[in-house]
Amino acid sequence: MFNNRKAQVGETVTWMVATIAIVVILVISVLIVSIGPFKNREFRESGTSDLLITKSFTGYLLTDDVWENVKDKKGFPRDPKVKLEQSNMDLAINIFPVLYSGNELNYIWLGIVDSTCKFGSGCVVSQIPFGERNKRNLVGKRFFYDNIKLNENSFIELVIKIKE
Amino acid sequence: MKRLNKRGTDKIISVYWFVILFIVAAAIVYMAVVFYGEPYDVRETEANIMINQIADCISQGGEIKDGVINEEGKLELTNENILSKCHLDFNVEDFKDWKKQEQFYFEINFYKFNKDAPDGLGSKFVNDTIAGNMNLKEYCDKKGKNFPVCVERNFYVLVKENPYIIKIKSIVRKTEKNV
Repeated sequence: MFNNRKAQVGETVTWMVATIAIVVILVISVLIVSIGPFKNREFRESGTSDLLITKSFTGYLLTDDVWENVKDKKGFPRDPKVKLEQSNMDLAINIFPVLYSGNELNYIWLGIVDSTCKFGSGCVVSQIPFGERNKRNLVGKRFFYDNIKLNENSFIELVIKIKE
Repeated sequence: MKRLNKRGTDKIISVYWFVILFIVAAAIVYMAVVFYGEPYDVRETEANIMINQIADCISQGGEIKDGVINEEGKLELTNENILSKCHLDFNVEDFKDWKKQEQFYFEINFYKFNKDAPDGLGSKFVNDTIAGNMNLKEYCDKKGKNFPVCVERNFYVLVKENPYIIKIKSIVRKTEKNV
């Protein structure tokens, strides 16, 4: 009789604990959904291309003798200290930061890259001194990337990263 | 006696299971409604699409398109013809008072490129081209999701080998369906 009662009490406690566990889990889930990050949902395009950046990049390359200078640097030494022509460099420094308002921009990189080499600053043939070419800067939701092949071994690359 | 007792326990357990099932189902339905019931705010994307459409209409391959600026240096795109020339349609669905109040606005400004200015903008080249509900501009400096979304983008372009910055401001209202 006693044994039977103990068994019944044990079973009831198990059911109560199970019920409380279910209710607690549900309440937590409902609370997370209610106050969670789903309330203000903004839809943003993903992808690494931006039409206006591409247009500006093409416009930049067509300005004066930029394309001629960039294209003819086949024999560039593999030295990041070698810069693009000063006038071309100044032009780029003036164009790309104004595409987005200043406080939105996080990072810009423009330069010529050796396509036969793996990623890294050692691959940089020539660059505009905005900053280092860093893989760390090619992550995140809002970075735009464009490149144009110059020859078999190199391409000119533009990376613009916007604050998230 | 024992059998009767067991039947009673089974009934209680069945009711208990139904109650639990109902609570779980109700919680799942509530969460689904909360999750999917909140609208996505797509206005920024819409404004960017409008900017891209206008930019594509004006320039190609880094240069201004033929027919955008005439021989006298005047803009061929006017407030009256820009919507049709750029294949834009500002008609919206018949929702609330959207038909009475236009939900879109954009303006295009051409500036000479000035490398000494911090924003690259020199003197204005031609008059602004605008279309849509001009009143929406008033809300651009207001912050908050209940106001129209304003997006402003610049791009660099060559007009007969001379560098220009084209500034496009695009505004989308449609607050009722996005907030």
